[in-house]
Amino acid sequence: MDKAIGPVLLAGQRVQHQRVDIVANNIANASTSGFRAQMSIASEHVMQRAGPSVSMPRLATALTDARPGVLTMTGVPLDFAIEGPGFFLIGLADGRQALTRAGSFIRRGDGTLGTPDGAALLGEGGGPIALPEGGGPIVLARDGTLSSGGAIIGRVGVVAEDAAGQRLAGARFALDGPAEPAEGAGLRQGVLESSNVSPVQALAELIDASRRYEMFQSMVEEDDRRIRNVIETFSRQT
Amino acid sequence: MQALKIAATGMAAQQTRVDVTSNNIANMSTTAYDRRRAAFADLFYQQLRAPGALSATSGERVPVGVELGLGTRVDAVIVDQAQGALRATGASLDLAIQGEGFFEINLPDGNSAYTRDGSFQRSAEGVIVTDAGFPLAGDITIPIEAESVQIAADGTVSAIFQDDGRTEEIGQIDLVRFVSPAGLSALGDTLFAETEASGPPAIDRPGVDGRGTLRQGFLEDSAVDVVREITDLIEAQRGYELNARVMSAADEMLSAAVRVR
Repeated sequence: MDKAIGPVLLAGQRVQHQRVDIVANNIANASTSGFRAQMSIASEHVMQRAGPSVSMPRLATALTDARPGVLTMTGVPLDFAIEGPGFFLIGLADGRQALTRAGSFIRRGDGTLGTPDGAALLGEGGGPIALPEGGGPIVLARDGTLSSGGAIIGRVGVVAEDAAGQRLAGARFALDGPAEPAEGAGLRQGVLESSNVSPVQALAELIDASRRYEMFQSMVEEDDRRIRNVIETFSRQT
Repeated sequence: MQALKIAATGMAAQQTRVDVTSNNIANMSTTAYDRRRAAFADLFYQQLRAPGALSATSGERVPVGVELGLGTRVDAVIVDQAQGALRATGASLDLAIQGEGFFEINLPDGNSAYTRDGSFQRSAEGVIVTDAGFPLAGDITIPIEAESVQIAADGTVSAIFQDDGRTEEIGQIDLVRFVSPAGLSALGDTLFAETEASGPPAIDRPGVDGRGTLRQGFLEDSAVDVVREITDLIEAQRGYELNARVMSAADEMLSAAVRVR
């Protein structure tokens, strides 16, 4: 037997730990509008040494599942959803820009459109969209044109998916690269995109990861027993 | 191992959703009640390996990193300002707003509150007051000898006298509009207070600048759709169970780790 078995089993358990953490975050966000699930991908880490090489698993990446979530009718006029690929562009309080598919907006105190936590929804020109005082109901056309009582008040921009960088809190991604307009995206009013977490898939992943963890655990215990046996056998002989 | 804590944030979020939904259902018969909706957001991400970092094995930049999310939180409980159905009551001091806007109410502490509940009464002094006894702004007093009161769509209040059948204008009910009604703070009793987020109140006659018009003898029903609330309740319950499942899986893994001697 090999001295490498301990570290290999430990690396295996560590990967299963991280998988459970990621699936736990997916399940916790199964009701977060616009949330995109993460998929963990493990890869092989090869340790070169004298004799046969040893392979250890490690968590390589947590990919973002780009499939859109189910669109749910809410009937609220300022709930927008994107059909097809793309993100809303929002301006955070610290001046940075971010991307999101969570389309529940409100009128802010200064009359511009924003998210419930205070970030501004940015129009195609990169500036906030001011809603007129009074006037008729707000209507969002499929191409993003916002109008009120027949008068155009702005256009909601949809940014291509390539610009999505690091994940930020609030179902957002940091803007990484130029904000190019998305091809083939259409906007819908009175509709919200649900989280794209599939509860069945998440549960399967959870069971898979926790059972594998237990499997490694029993191997660790088995190895422990083996070493004990060796020690006991040798100590009897001397 | 974060899964235990992450599952706890998920359970807390679903619990809040059940609370919000049950409050909606409890208010399915409250005049002019607007449904609330809990909105969730994910928490911060722990960067185990940032995207764009150099890989230790190959020296190349990793295109996608490992970002570990730490759960969910309640982002906001949003009041969906929606028009409820109008119900005919026939009472002369029942008013419904068809369209946007709020009635302004004078509170005993000198502040103003705003409501869409137009179920008004006549106080002993003849003043138009809410069911709770707070006077409607404008201090409209109905003369004792008046036989009936007529309230026009534009808010003009007239008293009709029995003896000679003459009509006299006795006041004007104005409506208040806010730039962001979602930013109002709820005081209970279907009353709202102005906040920094809602913007200052803009008072004008009904029908002006997008304000709704008044309908005498009608009340606005609660905007709660029970079927939708029940669907939400079931979703929240299942979400709770799913998070509880994560918690027990994480617990089993930890207890397996503890077993090792």
